[in-house]
Amino acid sequence: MKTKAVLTITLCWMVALTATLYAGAEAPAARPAGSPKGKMPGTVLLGSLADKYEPVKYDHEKHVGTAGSCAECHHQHGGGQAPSCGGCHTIDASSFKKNVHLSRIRPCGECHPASYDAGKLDRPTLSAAYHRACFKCHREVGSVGTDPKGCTEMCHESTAQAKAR
Amino acid sequence: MNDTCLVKEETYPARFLNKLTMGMTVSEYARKLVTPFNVVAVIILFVGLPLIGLRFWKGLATVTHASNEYPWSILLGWGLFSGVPLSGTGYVMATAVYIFGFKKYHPLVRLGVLTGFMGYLFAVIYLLIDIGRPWRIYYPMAVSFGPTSVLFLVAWHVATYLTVQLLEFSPAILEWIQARRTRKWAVLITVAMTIGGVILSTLHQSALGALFLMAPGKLHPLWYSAFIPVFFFISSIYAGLCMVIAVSTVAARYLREKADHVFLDSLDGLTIGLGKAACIVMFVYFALRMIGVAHDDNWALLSSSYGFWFLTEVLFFVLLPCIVLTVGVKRNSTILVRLGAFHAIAGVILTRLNISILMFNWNLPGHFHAIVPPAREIFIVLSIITLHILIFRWILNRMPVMREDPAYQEDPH
Amino acid sequence: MEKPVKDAGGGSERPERKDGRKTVNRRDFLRGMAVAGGAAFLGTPADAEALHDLSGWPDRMGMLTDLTECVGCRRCESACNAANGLPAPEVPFDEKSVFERKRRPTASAYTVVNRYENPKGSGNPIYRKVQCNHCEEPSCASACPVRAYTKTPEGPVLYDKDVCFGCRYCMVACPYYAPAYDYESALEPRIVKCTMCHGRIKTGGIPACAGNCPVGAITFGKRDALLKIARNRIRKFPDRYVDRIYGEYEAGGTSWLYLSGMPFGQLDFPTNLPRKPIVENTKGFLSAVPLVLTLWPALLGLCYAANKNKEEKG
Repeated sequence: MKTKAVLTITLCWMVALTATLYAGAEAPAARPAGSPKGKMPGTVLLGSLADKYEPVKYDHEKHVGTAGSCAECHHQHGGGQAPSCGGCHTIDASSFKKNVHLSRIRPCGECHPASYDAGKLDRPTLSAAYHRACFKCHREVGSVGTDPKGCTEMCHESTAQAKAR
Repeated sequence: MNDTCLVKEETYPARFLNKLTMGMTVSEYARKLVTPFNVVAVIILFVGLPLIGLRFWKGLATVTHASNEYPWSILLGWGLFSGVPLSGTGYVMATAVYIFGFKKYHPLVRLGVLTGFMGYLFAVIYLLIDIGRPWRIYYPMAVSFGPTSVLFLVAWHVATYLTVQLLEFSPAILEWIQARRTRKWAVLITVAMTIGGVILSTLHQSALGALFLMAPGKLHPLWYSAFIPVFFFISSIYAGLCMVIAVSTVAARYLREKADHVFLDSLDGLTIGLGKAACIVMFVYFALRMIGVAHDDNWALLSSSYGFWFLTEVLFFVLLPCIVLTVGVKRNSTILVRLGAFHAIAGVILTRLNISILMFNWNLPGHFHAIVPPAREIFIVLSIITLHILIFRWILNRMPVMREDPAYQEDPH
Repeated sequence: MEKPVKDAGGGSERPERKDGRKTVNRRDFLRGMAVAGGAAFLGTPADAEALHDLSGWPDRMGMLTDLTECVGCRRCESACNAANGLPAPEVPFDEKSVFERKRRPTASAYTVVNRYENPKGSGNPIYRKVQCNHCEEPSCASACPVRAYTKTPEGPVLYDKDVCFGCRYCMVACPYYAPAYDYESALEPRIVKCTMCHGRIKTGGIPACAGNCPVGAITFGKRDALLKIARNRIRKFPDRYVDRIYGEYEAGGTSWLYLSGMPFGQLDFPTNLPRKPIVENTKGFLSAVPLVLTLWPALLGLCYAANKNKEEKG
């Protein structure tokens, strides 16, 4: 008799707990098709322009929902600016017959140099790459491209403003 | 014979003062100075000279509208680009008399050389006002050479030619201050100076045009030509001839008492002769301008409004005075020749202003508004012209330019 | 009045005139003309073709500006202002009202950005950065009578205010209207223009504008490498770019290269420039100078002598 009661309570408790857990959490972002497994970053702190602006709090998770595919920004293949295949993959001719999967998405900084690199002139620097990726959409959303004040409108908080806070 | 025997007993300062006042007492001289012309001149100088001071005190921006698109304005357009061809009187007259042997023009040589010397002196004065750091004006001569530049050539030549002209005119000055021995040396070098003067003039008259070869896109195609240097050189020849006619006309009219009978009696005949030479050169020049249009096949441009202006310049201001001069020479009419000469001079000024100001940057928006000089700049130019005339007159009043000094009649000339 | 002089040797008779001068005889005349003619031929450059073939400093740098990337944020203007210690502008660098009229570099701004309507209507406006283009064969350097300009081995064209006397001929000669003049100063007027941050690049840095562009629209590197990159970009994205690198050949070529999605003429780039450097226009005239210096004395001396001869005879 006692065992039955304990089991029932434990079961209910587990159901309740699971329910709360599921209810409280947001629905996980729909993973774009073909995206690699593994943990996606939530918020990323981009701080290379630290002299003029506070680090940008970039909500990666939110943008994953709005972007059509990973390739919009992680333009390994999309966007018409892909580097050559051999730059990232070891090419095995037989694999072209099957679907090619990339095991992971390289962080931007792995290809884009953090500062000027005379050997990689045709590749934008890291901050330039960030901006070009952001501007693809944000030239419509914000006033970037129509107003020099666009920098601080949506993304950057100037160090002066931060001090005033 | 002359007043030297009277003044020999006086002291040097008294003699010097006497020379300055032309034999009058100081009070007499001062009274004679008050004429309508002089009053107007003083008023202009009163307004203009402080403006020149303002330029040096507060910068060029206060007196010009010179901008980053229009670095050169009327100070140079008039003072340098128009002034220099009109100062071609010196080399033209000296060459005619000493090199080509047209001895009958001898009475006009000194007037021509003086006009030329004064013209170049004032061109330098306009430059000193216009350039950014006038205290460095000698730099192209002594400090840093830029021989790839046409302006380097202009700088050297203007400096050298000014010296040459001063040396050519020095006999007149030396006669005035009665330095007989120095005068002899000065006369000996005349032919060499003349040849030097022609070489220098050929080069810098054409160089002023060649300056604009560096701005092919900025000058209207009807005025831009590979032959600009030739145009400038040939027009300076007839500009010099007509300027001698013009200056001698004005001087004979207003300073008649400073000329001797040789000058006055021969003037009409010499005027016709100069007119003959001028109309030949002008006809050649007109043909050259047409060749310039043909060379670049710009005939189609003549039907535009700029083409109309070009035709005004070459037909009304070159061909027409050429015809007037020709008719005047044929009919032996000094009035027509003089009219033609003044008209031709206006044409030379017009073409220089067209190239340096009016048709320069013709295709920039707001062009015809940008080239209008401010009143201050116009007044500066007016006051320098006034100064020029006053100094010219001062020299003509005192030195033997339109007359032979009887004391030196026996000496070589 | 001829007085035969004792024959000094050489067999030439040089009769003396009253004033002590000698007439010119046939031998002297022919000798003079031969010398003048020979000198005239010596003046011709031995290999006229080689004059047009200056290959330039081998490691010179350039700036490739991709106008399809520029977003008009004006950070290049701001960075240039800070890097060169220029005076604070009247209108701050984050103001968009400046785009309402076309600007040009001034005595207090080495570079400006102008905005142009995108002909596609709905697209973003096009922005263009204006500054000295650091030509391969700079017209300003050729025009300067005191050699105040130098084309450095690193690429930038530098101005020396210590020899400039303010004739402003460089401003007449520059086909891009790049030099600005400080007319406001009475004692220290000077030309003001972009230096391509020569001090920085000499010590291994990069120009301030290139280093501060948030989208990397300006690429700094060896000019030859930049040309390859530019051609590559045009080849890879033919719909994005007009098939021309502005500055490759214009007036002999410039260090500042531009790529654009719009025809360059619509962005106020001068399109009437010849391929050869502008200075070539004056070489014909300047070569005539030694000819005149040689021939004129001979010809005029001859005229003078001929006249003297006629006078004595007649």
